Amino acid sequence: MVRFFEKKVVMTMLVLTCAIIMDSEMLNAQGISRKNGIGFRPSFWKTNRSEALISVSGSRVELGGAGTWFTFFSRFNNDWFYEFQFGAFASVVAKRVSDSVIEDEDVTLIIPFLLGARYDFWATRNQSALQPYFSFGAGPYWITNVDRPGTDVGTFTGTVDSGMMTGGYLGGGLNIALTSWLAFNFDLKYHFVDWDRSADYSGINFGAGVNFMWGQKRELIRVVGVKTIVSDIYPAYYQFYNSYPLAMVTIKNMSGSSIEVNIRSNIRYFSERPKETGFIKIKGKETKDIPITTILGNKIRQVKQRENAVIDISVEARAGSKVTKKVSSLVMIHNPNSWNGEMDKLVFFVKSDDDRILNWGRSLVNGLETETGDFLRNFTIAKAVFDTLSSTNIRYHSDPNIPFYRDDRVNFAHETIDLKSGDCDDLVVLYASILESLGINTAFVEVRDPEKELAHLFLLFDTGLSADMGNLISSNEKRYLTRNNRVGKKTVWIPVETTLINDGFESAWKTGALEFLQNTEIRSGLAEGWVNIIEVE
Amino acid sequence: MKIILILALNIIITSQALYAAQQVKIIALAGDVKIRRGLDEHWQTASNAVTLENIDTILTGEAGEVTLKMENGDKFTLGSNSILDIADLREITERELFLYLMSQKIDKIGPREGKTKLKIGRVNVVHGELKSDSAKLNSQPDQRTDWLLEKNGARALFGQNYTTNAIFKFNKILLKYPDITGCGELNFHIGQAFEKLNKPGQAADAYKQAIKINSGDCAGETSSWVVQSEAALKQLNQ
Repeated sequence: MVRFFEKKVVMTMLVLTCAIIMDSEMLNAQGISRKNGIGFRPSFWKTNRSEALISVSGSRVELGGAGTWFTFFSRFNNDWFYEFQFGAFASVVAKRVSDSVIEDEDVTLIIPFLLGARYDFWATRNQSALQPYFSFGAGPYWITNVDRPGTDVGTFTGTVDSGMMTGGYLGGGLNIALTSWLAFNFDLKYHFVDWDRSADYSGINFGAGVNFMWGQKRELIRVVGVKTIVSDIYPAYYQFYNSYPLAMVTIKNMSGSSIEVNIRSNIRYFSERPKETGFIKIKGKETKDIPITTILGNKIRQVKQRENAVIDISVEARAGSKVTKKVSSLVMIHNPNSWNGEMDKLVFFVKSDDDRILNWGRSLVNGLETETGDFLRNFTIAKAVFDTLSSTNIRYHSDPNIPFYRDDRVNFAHETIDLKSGDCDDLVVLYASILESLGINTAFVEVRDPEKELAHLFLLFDTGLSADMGNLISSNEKRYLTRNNRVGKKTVWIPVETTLINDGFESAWKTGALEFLQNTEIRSGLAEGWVNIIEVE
Repeated sequence: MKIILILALNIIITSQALYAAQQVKIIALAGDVKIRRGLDEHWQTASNAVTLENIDTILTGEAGEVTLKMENGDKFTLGSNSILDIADLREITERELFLYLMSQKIDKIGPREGKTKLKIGRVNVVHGELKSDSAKLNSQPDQRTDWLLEKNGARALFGQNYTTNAIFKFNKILLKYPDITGCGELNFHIGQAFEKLNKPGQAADAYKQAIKINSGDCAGETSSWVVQSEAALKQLNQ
């Protein structure tokens, strides 16, 4: 019954140990994860002067050396630890001649105080709980020797020698990390007492014990930096940020084996939900830049005035264990009418599906006498739209001055109609929105004349006429240009200076054509790159 | 406000016009010579001592000829059946020319094609096809005439040592009239102009292009351009 019970206990212990070891791979991958530890390790020490480790022969007993180590260790670099060890070991050789006489009694006590270093050479190369190491160190060995030749048990006649020798050790061992705070330890060292391999007290020391650890856990990943790419978010083109990276997170895999990293980003209050990068593999010791984007929703368009927002970035690393690190960054959310001056972003203000604009345009076209298949349909509609806008007394008006604010303000088409005024970008957006809502393709012409301080903007619209039919619009080809439309067909396009909204289409067309001729044809602005044409799509 | 705006715009436009202002004066003319001011729709008969600006255009008819005097005193003669924009007489540096040629090459590359293409099988009925075709057919004779007039203008530039201007102009004509090959004539002239600029690489490319065109649309025609291009290319290779 007792034996069965013992067996059951042993089996349970074995199963538990296996479970802990297996679980420790999940919990405590990458070796000793904590910074500091103490250990207790009973050991044997076979010195050169001992013939055997343990020997009992008739009346002669020899114990080569036994004792225990107490150790303290602390990580100073990824896989390197300082270790301080002290221990106490005794060896005894005695021969009892009779109950009252002992012959050749020799007792040696060794107390070493050693300082050394340990290197867990496999820690960053595997994910196992088994962590071998090698170690080396040096220090004083306090040695006391009692030598008593054959004499009566009750009396002491002999010599006692005591002294300190220096020496060093070299060896290795194995830690089995059960949890992040507990490990079994097996250790084997050779001690060179008096720096002499064959000295009396030099010899092999080996033992098994436990280590208890505490302190900071080992770094699995390091967030080297978060580089903000977009520090200003403009609600007018918030969809743009769903695919354009807001920031670049630089992550270093501190371990020696591959890990997987998932980054979750979220702009507090404004994100519809957190955006995840999905798990990305990073090789051991590799540093990787990972771009992060976000999912912004309509809420961002409700911002009345620019305000700061916080991007929360959460980095989750997976390598058996899971490690999560969190960092934050600030972005500025501008108001829905702000525009940073980048021409390709102005197209986001063109809302051809706005109900008011659709209705406005359709009611106008319904009153026009154009037929399907009419070559000049686009031209006629564009002219009528411009002339109708002219008659509504919409005026050119520059943007308000906002102190310390460098961005431009752009009104959406319906806002310009309500306000009855706008600057060049507002008017371009208005005209483009209406034409696009009526199915007429448009493009912006941006002129950043190196000779002038301010950039200028006007519009092109596609007449739909093929390149060789420009003469249906004008006998002077300087009044139009031919360029590829969205399907790659070369068609006739008309430049319109929208700031001349009060002067009617003819004047706006002539001025636009002249601007285009001067800046692109004569001064080669397109080839030199200071004139850009941006499709409104 | 409106007046201020119009004034401001006029200043901007006038300043732009003045920036690259290239005023030339008609000092002699014979036969049918017409001028067109800026963006005007109509041509007017040219007369002596009239000053032209860089946005203006000059046209000579059969047996017409006009001599222009530049601001720097140089003279330029435009022969019969030619058209020339006054802006084509502006100073075009080699840097400007190559920027232009490079930008044309980039434009030719076109946008990258998507992975999924919308394919339309057969289209049996295309509304407006007849109208479109007739309009295109009508435009063909005019195009040929325009091409000839512009080519003569460009040749005049080349003949009077406006070499970079001539290359610029020949290339513009090629771009403007993609359907008219001229059996490689323009490319041959471009090659000659590049040779004059001591650019044998570009000259060889132009000659090769002239030969290639000739072997295409103009195959079978007795064209001197292919013979001349081959000879020029041979000489270049030596």
